Amino acid sequence: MKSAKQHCRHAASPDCRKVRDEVFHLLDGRLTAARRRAIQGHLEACPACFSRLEFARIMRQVVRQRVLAEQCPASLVKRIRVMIARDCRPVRGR
Amino acid sequence: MAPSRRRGKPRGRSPKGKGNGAPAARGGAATDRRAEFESEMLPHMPRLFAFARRLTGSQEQAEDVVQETYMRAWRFYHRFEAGTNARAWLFKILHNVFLNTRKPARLREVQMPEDEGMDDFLLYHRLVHDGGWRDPLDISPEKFDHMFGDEVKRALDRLPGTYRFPLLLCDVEGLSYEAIAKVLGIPGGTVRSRLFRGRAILQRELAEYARRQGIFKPGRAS
Repeated sequence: MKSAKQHCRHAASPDCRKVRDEVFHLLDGRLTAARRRAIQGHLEACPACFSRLEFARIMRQVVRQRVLAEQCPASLVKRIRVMIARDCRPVRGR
Repeated sequence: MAPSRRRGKPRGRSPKGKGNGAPAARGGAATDRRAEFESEMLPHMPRLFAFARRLTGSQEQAEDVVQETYMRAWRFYHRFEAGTNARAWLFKILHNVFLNTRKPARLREVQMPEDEGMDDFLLYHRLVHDGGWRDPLDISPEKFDHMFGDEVKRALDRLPGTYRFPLLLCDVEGLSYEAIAKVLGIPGGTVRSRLFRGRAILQRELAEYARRQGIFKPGRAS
């Protein structure tokens, strides 16, 4: 297995630079099927680019987990249900 | 103002045609409408609350924003098209509610940085070069989470709203660029550039935290 710095030195390839510019677009579902296949082919053969994809994927996952860990208060759900039942008259108090 | 969605078949318009279908419905029809609204819209509340919590930075304000969002959604439910993206519709309303509750001065908070010099892999590079990551393929969500913990939320909270909104809608909610553009009322190209900048700034913030925590090797961190 190559070291991290060897991975980074591998970055000089023009193909790598193009792929790295598109890593987030790949994760965002922005690429055409043909471009997606081309990039996936490159990623299978290039650990340096693959590790960046993994990093981007993990960072997104951690952000998502941290944001969604906020618990919606049961009192808010109840208040909104009552509000709807009263046709939008605000409910006072928490 | 709630978004108008005039295409397609509207939901149960008021018999009196006043454009506000919810309050005019009576008896069994009102109960059916309410049940339909609740089953379609309320399941999204935890996601809206989590989003509002990061937008406002405050539990109380997040509750107020979500309550007002549902109040408007119910009032304008007759405009919602069956089969369209209810979550995106609710986020659009929530975004409008949030903007309406902010003080005008805060709307001018954002200075757009230049793309040049911004790096949406900055944190990766710093961790590999200065943080002793011998094998970047060995990273796991658990290691990353252990390294940064709640700093991820704090860094998000410091991110200007201009970048925070699209980042949360894309990376947390998984909305397409087109849906984000509709929610925020901006062109698709702007969504793309704001995502790039938002990710770069977030990584810069986390890299700075890692430097303060001594994660980078002494003398190499900038």
